[in-house]
Amino acid sequence: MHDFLPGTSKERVLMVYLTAGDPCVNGNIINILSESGVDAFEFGIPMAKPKYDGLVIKASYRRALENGATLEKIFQFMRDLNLDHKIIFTYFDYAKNIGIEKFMSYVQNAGAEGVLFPDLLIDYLDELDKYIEICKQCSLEPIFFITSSFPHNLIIKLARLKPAFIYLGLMASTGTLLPITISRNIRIIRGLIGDTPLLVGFAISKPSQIMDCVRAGADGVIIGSAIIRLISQEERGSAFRENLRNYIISLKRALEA
Amino acid sequence: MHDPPNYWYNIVPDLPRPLPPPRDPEDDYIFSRIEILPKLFPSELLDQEFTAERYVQIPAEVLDSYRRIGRPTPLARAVRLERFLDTPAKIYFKREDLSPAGSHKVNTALAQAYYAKKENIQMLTTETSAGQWGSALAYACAMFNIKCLVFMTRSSYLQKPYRKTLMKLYGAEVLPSPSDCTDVGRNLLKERPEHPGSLGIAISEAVETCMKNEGVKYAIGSVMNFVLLHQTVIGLETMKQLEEIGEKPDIMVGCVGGGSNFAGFIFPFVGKRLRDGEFKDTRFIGVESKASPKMTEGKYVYEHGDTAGYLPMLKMYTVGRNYVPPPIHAAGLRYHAVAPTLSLLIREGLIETAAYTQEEVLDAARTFARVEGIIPAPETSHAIKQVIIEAQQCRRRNLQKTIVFCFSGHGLLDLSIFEEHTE
Repeated sequence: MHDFLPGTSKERVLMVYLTAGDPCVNGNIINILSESGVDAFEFGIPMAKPKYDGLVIKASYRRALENGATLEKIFQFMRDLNLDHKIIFTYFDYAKNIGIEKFMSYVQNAGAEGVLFPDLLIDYLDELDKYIEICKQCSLEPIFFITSSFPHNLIIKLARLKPAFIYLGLMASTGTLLPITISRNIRIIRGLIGDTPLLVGFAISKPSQIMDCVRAGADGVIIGSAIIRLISQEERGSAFRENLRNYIISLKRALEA
Repeated sequence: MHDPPNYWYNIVPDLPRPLPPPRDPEDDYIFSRIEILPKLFPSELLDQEFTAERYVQIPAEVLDSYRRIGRPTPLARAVRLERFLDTPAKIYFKREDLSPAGSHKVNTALAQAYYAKKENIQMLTTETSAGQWGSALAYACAMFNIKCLVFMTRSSYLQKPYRKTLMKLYGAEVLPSPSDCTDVGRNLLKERPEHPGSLGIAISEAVETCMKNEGVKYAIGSVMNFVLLHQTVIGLETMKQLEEIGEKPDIMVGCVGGGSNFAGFIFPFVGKRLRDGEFKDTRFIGVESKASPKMTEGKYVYEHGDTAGYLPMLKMYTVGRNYVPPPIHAAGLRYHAVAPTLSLLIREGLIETAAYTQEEVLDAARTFARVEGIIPAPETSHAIKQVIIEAQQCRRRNLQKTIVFCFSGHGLLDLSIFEEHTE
């Protein structure tokens, strides 16, 4: 995974989050996104009771579940996608129910490079070593989710574990914009982690926000709710594809500015 | 010490494990309480809620307002109490009762009013039952020239006329809750014109007022990280004052409703312990009322910060937001939960807890009034009870401990309690 990350490649990373199994997420859309400049994808596994998701992603989970999404179908879908870089996003609770080893081997088989568990360090800090061990066994890259409310000592320790990247959740829940000075928080986190790749996300939708993030020290951004809002519109209209393409291009441009 | 500190201390970056984030109810797909936070609170306060900074600068205007209320407040020694108890322990107390409104609450009220004013907010609204928080906010709004609307539970409105008068003297509008100014209030009054009200109803009325009116925001007296942040001015001053007299605290005590005075008092010390091992032998003791025993008997779970469920869920020690405590005079301690940061530290075993009944603490209050000449608030009396127990322990074992407690507020507007219980 390191091959598309900063320090080892020329560009900054634009990652898009989509809920696997959501009927509006299909090969067509993914192609448009890839062709317009999305570098990597993060696929969420739909669930009935998500902990940190805002209304847009919650609605996306619901559509996926109503559409009959199952883990088997989701992993099949991911296997079929011809993408260079993809990771999975789900809650550690959920994977624990299946069995962490088993779940991680599914991930490996689906061709994903890693799993981001946003609740791992919040609710299961004691299982950090286990997560890293299983990642190793399954040839997956460890990825850590943190927030601005994480202890600085822990953030420093995480960076020393050489994850593929650290994902900083900028807001309290996905897609929910709060008046938080994200550039300050990014700068502080960057100061703690040296040159560990840092991607940031939650409620990023505008090019100006991306420029702020990059200037403050982020190596890339993850866009979720903003894309889902676009692709889940019932009336897509004739300019839909063009608008989506232009939107991604504008984000990419901001990233590289 | 001549000047208050020029920064507040944020303990979040120093906690032993990540602070669980606020959450919406998992099964609510329609309404996000996190999404409405910007409608309720001034932006800079929400920014402080989620800051990764360890030190947050206190704006010059707030610092001035702190000086005006007498900050730094004195750290006094209770020599007469030591003698009365015949203890080798030394007892110090931080005088948060000396502010114009009579309690520590003003430390955050001033900050909240300042940021509201800075953002051109015309009015702050809140709820109050005992009246300590309402009085502090009314005072702060007067100092920063913004309007203040306080929903006061009807029972307190009728039983505590002087609190109401105090708030009105500061220019606040005080409405008995339920009121006829909100939908929530009107509906309840239709069913029952003499409805006694509750803190939950009063919060609902304040929140509804914010949601329906541009330029009105909600002020909150405890629980949120930013409230505890503002209160650290207490502990930062105490630390410096102890240094100046060459003392190190062996035991630090405070009363706990939502936890803001206790947290503000001890967090700078706890933070040093977490960062570099200083104060590693200091015992931190939070004292609650047996009427709402969240720390000693509650569960560490996600719960709404308010009874009405308008605010996001936070991970806290709680007896549940629907718990109805018996009516006690220390109404500030009837709150159903303890602030998330304080809860996490209790969970991690860094903080001890104790709980007492009203009768137990009133004896302690009477003793303190007689020997020290200062009337404690019923809430503060809980801390005094613990201090007396610790000092007696020191006498029995002949230990020269240094005990420091937060004298969070005076009881001069709660005198009826002593009348009822002195006869």
